[in-house]
Amino acid sequence: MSSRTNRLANYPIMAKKITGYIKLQVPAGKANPAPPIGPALGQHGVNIMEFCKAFNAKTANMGDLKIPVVITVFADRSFTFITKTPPATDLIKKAIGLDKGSAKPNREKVGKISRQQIEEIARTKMPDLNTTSLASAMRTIEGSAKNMGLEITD
Amino acid sequence: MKSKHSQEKIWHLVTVTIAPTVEETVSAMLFDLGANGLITLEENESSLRLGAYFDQSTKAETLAREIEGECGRAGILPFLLSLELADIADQDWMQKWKEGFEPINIGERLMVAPSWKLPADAANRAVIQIDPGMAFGTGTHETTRLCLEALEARWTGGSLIDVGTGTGILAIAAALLSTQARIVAIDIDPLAVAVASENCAINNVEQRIEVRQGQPSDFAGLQFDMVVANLTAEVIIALMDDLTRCVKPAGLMILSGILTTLRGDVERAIEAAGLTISERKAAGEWSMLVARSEAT
Repeated sequence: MSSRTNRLANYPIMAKKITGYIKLQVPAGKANPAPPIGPALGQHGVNIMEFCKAFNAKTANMGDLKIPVVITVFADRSFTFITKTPPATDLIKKAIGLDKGSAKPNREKVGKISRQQIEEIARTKMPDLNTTSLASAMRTIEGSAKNMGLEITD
Repeated sequence: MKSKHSQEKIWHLVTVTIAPTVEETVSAMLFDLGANGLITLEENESSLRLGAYFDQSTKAETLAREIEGECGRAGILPFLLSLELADIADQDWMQKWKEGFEPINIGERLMVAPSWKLPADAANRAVIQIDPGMAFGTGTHETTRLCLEALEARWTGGSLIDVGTGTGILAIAAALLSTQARIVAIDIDPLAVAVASENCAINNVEQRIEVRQGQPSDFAGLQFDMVVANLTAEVIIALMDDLTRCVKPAGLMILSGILTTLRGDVERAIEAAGLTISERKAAGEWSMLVARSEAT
């Protein structure tokens, strides 16, 4: 039974022929039939309201973060979607309550972020970063923070 | 291109081609400038085309300058490969989507229709109401249609299990075609189970279909007159022993979702399980097989 379950996990459950992918970035909890969702999904025959309801339910408690989402469309116009982690810049802004990054990050510092906050963001972003090493993920997030004009503190 | 009708709602679509390395920075910038949402229009190793929609309160004339200015300040202007502006007239996108669906006649006795296109007169056809959504089985795909046609031709009542029910469309069709039946619909996906349950209620057959999350092995020995499985060739082959244990002696199996190129593999698995193939039918690149178990 368990071996069968494992074996089945490798297969799609239905005869799902994928006809397309739609990649969007949408503010958490705020999906609606306006562009870009309406025209993009409508073009593929995907149920716009059903996507909006499901997306908003899944992201309702994520504040103002912008959520990357990939919608897979099947031949009979049914669909599924996966949400990815928000952009590092969004997570950084949220962590330190920053409105906007620096226009001149090398010269004008607009705030500070601690290594502990960097680590928390790195852990959140790990599933979508091309690494399994926390140290390497932290370096990526540090890079984003510096590009926004932030000073890293211990 | 500017709208001539100022009262008509429009959207400003900014399309930028950028290097993939600056996707996150440019995305954040477009949101900061007021974008409603972004779409990735094209993507390859060296470049990325992003579309950003702004509502009409944003001044289109200044958008391009602002984006270039922000990219310049962030030191990424060389990675902004192109920038285009267009106006898109607002539309009722939901209505447009709905217009893409029409009721579909299947066989002699069935019709599949979305909730907003239910026919006033179905001309003696049983109407299955299914709205396309997050589960497979809207009736528009060949694999589903082949199964529905086989059900109509072969199903005369008794007991039936629908393996991988998706929207529940096949189980619902079975319930509408025969009121004297015990029908079980299973799926391993909890979302499909929820959708199928809802569709059974919409079609007023929820009292006659048991929808459950599970696998055919959970029902081995509970002998059904008919097993319907619209899956894929690989899954059917992997499940063949369990499916066989679900069917009564001299019972029928309808197997669909089989790419015709893989039909031979499924046929060999059917024969190895001791069943006899009684029908082969193809539509497009898909095949459906009907097999009968041995009478004992």
